[in-house]
Amino acid sequence: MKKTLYIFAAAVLALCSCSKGSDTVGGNNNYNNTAGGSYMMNIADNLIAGALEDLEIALEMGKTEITWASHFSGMTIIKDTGNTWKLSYEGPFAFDGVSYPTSFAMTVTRLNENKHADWDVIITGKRTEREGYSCQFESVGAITYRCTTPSNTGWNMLYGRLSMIVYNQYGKQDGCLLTFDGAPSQAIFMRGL
Amino acid sequence: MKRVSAILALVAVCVLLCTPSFAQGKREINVFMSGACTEYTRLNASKDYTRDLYGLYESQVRYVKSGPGLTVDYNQEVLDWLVVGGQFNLHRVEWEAYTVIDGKNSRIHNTKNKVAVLPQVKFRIPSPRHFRLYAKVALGMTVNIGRYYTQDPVVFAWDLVPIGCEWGGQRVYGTAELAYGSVIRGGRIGIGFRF
Repeated sequence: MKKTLYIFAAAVLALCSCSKGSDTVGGNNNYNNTAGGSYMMNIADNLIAGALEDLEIALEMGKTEITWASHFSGMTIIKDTGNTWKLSYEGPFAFDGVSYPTSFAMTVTRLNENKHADWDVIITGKRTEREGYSCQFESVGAITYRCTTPSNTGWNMLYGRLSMIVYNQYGKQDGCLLTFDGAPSQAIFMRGL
Repeated sequence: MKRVSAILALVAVCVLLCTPSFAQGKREINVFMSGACTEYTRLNASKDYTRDLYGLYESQVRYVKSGPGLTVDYNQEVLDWLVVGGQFNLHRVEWEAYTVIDGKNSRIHNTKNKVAVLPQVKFRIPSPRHFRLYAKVALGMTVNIGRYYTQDPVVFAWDLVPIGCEWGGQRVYGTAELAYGSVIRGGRIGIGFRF
């Protein structure tokens, strides 16, 4: 019996030492942390900033609907009170060349009269992707888009929070939050919420 | 498939509950550890991970699975060469630490677990008293439990042991087996008690 127990103990130790190379069992996988942040930056950088660019061009031209080739062809623009506009869009939109049905409603408030004005943005939206995946995103309060570059080329400082819930065919898959406090590259991403 | 799995699970429970009553032979409990791959790597690496949710959540990186599993089986001897029973497997436990990009905060979630319940039949092969050979086949179900599972919660499970051996005494003995199936593809080693 002793012999049996010794052999068993040795085998267990051998198995445990073999399994230490695993990167998932009891391990730490940071892959989705960084990649998830990059995905959400598409919403902040491409989608919201694209809509603001379209809006600024439309305001210059006095249009209330985007009818030319742009980020959001077909986006409607409704003037609200003061310096506030309501934007809505439903149609395809590409993140880095990959296009899926996307819809959003934004309320934006212009904070100054610069070429690229500073804006407060409140957004809710949805994106439906392949294999049953979809996400709903919204700003938590307002996100401020600020342009501080001397050449006034675009919005380089963001303040606020953007949340996203990811669904697949089995229900909620993940909850994410991207917090901006200045340069977008310094945004803090959190998932598993 | 879900119905088949549920029926097999029911059979497993019945076998576990009823075995002492329909046979007069000895009973045994075996506790195994497994140390081979429990799931194989999915190599369909997606480059869309920053622009596509499927690519983000189902890329190959999250699917390298290797590590220890635990199997407990309970059997009743029906004939000298035939043993029936059931096995319970905990063959995947995954914890994942979610950290923010700047690394200041982190939280740890138990994300994915697999447990399997399978009724089984074990065939003893004539062999010496202190070194007994057997083969085993088991069918049942695997239940996927966890926060971020992207698969069906209940799936069909099977486990085939083409060859296994027991060595040592009649009451306490060592046991090892090769296994192939949905539960594990590799080997198990453990300790058994006969009473």
